[in-house]
Amino acid sequence: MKIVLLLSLLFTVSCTHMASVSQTSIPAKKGKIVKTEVEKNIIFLFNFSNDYVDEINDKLASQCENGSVQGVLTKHESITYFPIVFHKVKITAEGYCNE
Amino acid sequence: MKLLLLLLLQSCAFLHHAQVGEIRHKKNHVRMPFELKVSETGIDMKEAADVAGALSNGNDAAGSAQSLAEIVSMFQMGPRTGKPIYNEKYADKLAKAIYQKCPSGDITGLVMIREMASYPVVSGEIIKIKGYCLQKKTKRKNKRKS
Repeated sequence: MKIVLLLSLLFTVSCTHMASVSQTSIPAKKGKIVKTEVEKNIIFLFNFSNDYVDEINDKLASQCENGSVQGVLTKHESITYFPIVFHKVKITAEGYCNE
Repeated sequence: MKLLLLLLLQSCAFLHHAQVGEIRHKKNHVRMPFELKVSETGIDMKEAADVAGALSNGNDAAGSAQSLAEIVSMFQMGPRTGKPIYNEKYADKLAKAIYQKCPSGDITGLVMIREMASYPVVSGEIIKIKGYCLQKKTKRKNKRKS
């Protein structure tokens, strides 16, 4: 019984944490929505670099090559799949492409 | 042993906040990338007291270190990211530094990252900014040798 309880506890504690959110000014004229994300899997809490975040700008810009991306919403989430053992950090950026 | 030493010497990188700014494209302009980084040393007094206690083998020094850590912690209230720092103005120069990198002020694609490089007891409380400075394309003149 104890083992069942322990296992059910371990499998149900997986959850998502919202670390931070930011929003730039939303334009009056809203173009098509562009969205991108970068993520990193972290095992045993060992993470030695956050350089994966750097590419998010270029990935978003490439979806709106002849215009401006405005009203950018940035979300920084942490998803725990299995406590201590495995979790993921995800950054999502979404905005309006005005050409 | 070598692997353990390597792991202890490596700093763990914690991401606290990431923010993407607006992205603009301008005709006849090129995007010149720039990067800025400022950091301040964070100190965890509780960890320091624990280390001091472990090194002093439980004598009076351990108790004093613990008391000092408790007194300091009374002045470090409220929400925070990373370990406490003792100079909160280290980030104030960022706006000026951005304009030094891009005097025209024509800036696009700013990505702001707040991260921490964590070591035992101390940490590097880092703010990193990456962006592009839009600069007008200059026409190249091919001078013919006469």
